[in-house]
Amino acid sequence: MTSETVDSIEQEPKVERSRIQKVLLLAKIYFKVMAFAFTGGLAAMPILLFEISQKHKLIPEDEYMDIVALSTSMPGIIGVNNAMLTGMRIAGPQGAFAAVFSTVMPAYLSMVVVVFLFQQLPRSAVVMGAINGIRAVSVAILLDTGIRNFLRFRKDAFAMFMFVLALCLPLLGLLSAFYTILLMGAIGIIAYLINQYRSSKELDKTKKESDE
Amino acid sequence: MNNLLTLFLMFLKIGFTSFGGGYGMMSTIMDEGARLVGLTKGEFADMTALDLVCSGPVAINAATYVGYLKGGIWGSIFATVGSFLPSLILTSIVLVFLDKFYNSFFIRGLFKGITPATGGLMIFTSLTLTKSIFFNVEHYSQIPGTPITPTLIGMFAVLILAIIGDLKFKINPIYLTLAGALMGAVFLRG
Repeated sequence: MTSETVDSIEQEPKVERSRIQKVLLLAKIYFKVMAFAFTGGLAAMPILLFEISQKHKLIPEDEYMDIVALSTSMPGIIGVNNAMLTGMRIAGPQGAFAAVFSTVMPAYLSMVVVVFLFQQLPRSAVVMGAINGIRAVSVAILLDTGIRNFLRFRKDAFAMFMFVLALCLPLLGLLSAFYTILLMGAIGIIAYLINQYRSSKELDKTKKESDE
Repeated sequence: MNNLLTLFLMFLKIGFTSFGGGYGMMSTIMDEGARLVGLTKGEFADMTALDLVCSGPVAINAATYVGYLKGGIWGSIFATVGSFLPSLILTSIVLVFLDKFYNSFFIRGLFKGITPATGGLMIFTSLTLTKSIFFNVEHYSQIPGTPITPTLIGMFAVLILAIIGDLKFKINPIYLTLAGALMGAVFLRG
């Protein structure tokens, strides 16, 4: 019991910061972390955890982990979801604005510069060759994402059915990728409701049996 | 103006239906991009590589890239805002009705259906790219008729090497892309 109280005292923010200081700190943290997150928002989560909870102690670690779980399990952009929820939790709407702005700006600015430079490249044989090589690797990386997803779900019959359906519908030209996603979501909701209904029925059954 | 609005709405739509981060929206960017703003398969493939060189969320990079190519600086701004607006709206809903939203059958069911589906869509995306970039044809039925050039064999070699490097040796994709560019500059000039 005593050790628990000690822990909770240690987790309290050591420095009292005003709202404006928190907003500026959030802007600084998100800008710094996002500017060096090259493989996407998900990769930035552990570094953000370190900066926000361990180094600056803005919110306790478990609270931040809840935000991470929520932001990865929602539609939308994971990095932006995270910035919005964390910013709001720490410093209200101004905090959310600071965090979201600092998440979007490095991604936006770096891409504008990179596309501009990419377009300026002379289309010589060497450059075209390099682009061919890059395109081959791009296809490989996308394919790998699909393969990893397959390996993860290969023992789940329902998930495999959805996997194959999502591959075949657009491949055969029956539905565009966008409508395929909508359809898969709808099937998922129906399957979830059927599952719920079944398990609630079974629960009733066991209840009745135990009553008897 | 019309073009800017199309870009904005396209990424708004994609943002609402993306699950599990930027790679979850790749298939829709390829599909809708081709349909609405004339994004070629080659441009799309370059995007997935350039995403790796740029910092921040992949989805933002993708929106900026397509917006810039198809509508200049203003296009990039409209597309980027469109891509992250759904996140702001959805997180606001969550902040107001936290438990109700998160534990609703709606969100849980959506995930149950869409998470495995994104895998199938990734395979679809890479098959389409293989067809368009490697073989440079419109339909799969035309593939048997295309001549087998040294460049084609070379690209398949790079593809297979990259798959092995990524899945088996877990090499950072940025290095794989650089290695691909280097090999391409030397061997794939055809």
